[in-house]
Amino acid sequence: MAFSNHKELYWVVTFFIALILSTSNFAYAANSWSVGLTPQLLMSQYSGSEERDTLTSYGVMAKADYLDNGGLTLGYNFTAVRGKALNPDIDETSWYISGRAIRYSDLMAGKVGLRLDGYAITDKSTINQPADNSTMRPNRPGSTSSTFTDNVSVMYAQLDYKNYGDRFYADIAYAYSDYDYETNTAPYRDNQVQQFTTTAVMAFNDSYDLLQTRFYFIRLDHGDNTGGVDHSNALEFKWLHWFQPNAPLNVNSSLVKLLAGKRLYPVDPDAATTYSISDLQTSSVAAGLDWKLGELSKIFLLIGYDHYDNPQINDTYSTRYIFGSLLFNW
Amino acid sequence: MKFKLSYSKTFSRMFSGLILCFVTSANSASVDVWAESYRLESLTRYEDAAQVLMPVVKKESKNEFVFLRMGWLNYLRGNHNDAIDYYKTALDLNKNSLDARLGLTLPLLAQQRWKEAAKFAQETLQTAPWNYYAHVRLMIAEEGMRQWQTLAKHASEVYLRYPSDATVLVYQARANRWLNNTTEAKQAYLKVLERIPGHIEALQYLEEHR
Repeated sequence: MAFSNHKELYWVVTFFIALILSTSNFAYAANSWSVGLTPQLLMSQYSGSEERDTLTSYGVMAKADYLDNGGLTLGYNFTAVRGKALNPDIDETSWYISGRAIRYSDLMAGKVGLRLDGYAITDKSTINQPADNSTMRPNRPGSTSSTFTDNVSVMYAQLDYKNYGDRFYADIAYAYSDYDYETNTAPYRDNQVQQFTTTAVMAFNDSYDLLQTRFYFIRLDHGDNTGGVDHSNALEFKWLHWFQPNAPLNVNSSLVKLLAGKRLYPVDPDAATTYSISDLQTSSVAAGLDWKLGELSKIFLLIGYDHYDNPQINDTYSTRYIFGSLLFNW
Repeated sequence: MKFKLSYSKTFSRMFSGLILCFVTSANSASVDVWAESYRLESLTRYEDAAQVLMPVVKKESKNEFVFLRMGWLNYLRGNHNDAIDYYKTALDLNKNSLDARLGLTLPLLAQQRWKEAAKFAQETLQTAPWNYYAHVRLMIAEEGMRQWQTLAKHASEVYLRYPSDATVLVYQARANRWLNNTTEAKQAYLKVLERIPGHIEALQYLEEHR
């Protein structure tokens, strides 16, 4: 199942969206939609990497919900990774579409959700080389450059349950990623990645605190471009705390995130992100705060530290990042 | 001839009597079904109370009232999806029905479908601007959506129309609590205590904010 030029992906997601729309009751559609817009920015600095220097990413998510029955999200993101010395610069464009349907079960006393996401990602790697093989720095007159275009398609499906008291949440999900490399020769031979995740969230302290655990089980078709590593497992913990009205700095909520284990090419459904680089994420820690701006909008800030390993060239490095987003609803 | 006429009249009377008896019996059976349904409801046997009305549901597809009643009984049973279906059928039969709209808000709120419940409450208020139940249910939805500014303003307006009501004041107090308006929250809770002296939530808040 390969998504050639993302076409199959478009059709599957379009079908799902059509299904959601057809099952919604449009008799009272006029004032039944609510929409939201989220511009976001990520800035990251690599430390100890032989290949990479900085990463800057910006994008926007647009969301439309039909009452309490589900909705659609569309997203666009552009990421620029600046390479060191003779290493490639990567420009990535990512399109994201997500459909969600919610049903209410009297038997299970809760909400059952079905979510289907699709990502269509294009990576353009530009390698600059001096024309005369001297030590001339790239991007100078006299250097030559080659650009390779790689396409990545990802399909993510999730089945979830949340009880009416909002005290318990669980989901199971499957993601299939298809990496279509332009060269398609070792080590960059086309690859397919399958990811299974299970998530459980428990609320405590009168629902002022939520503890989330998510297991990642990731399997690659081959390990040619990952130093022979063709699988990885990880456990992610997330602690979310809601503050009382008179909290310091008027903070609405905070979160702390930790990752134990290893992840290769993971798909993160909370951040609606795929990690399309072939390096192994070996640990991660992040902390974030959000503030409400009026009744319907909020601002979110996250700082984090990730550790990576590239077994292909024995490169171990870390990244520090800051992420910010603004959520406007109306 | 006279005898024949007399015989014919007698026969006609007997026949009319039979028809009347049959119709009365049928009406009586129908009324009995309703009486039985109310009796079972009073015993909290909601499933049985709904079950006895099933023949009416099947036979009288245009009977708006039977669908409203089935919606109510299914809501009481906790069959919220069925309750929503019955109330929506009643609303389809009578688009002007405020009963159906208000009825719909109950299972929707029970399922935490705040936006949908708010929508039907607002539709009710378009026709009946100061309907108490519509306002209270809209306030529940606003609380569920954590729209504290909207809720505070809304509760203040409703309080002006229903100044003896404690429920409205509780929502006014909660909204002000979340907006960090301690003075307003305390004032509202004090008014709650004038109406319900042992109100636990009001007592707790005032104890914490002496």
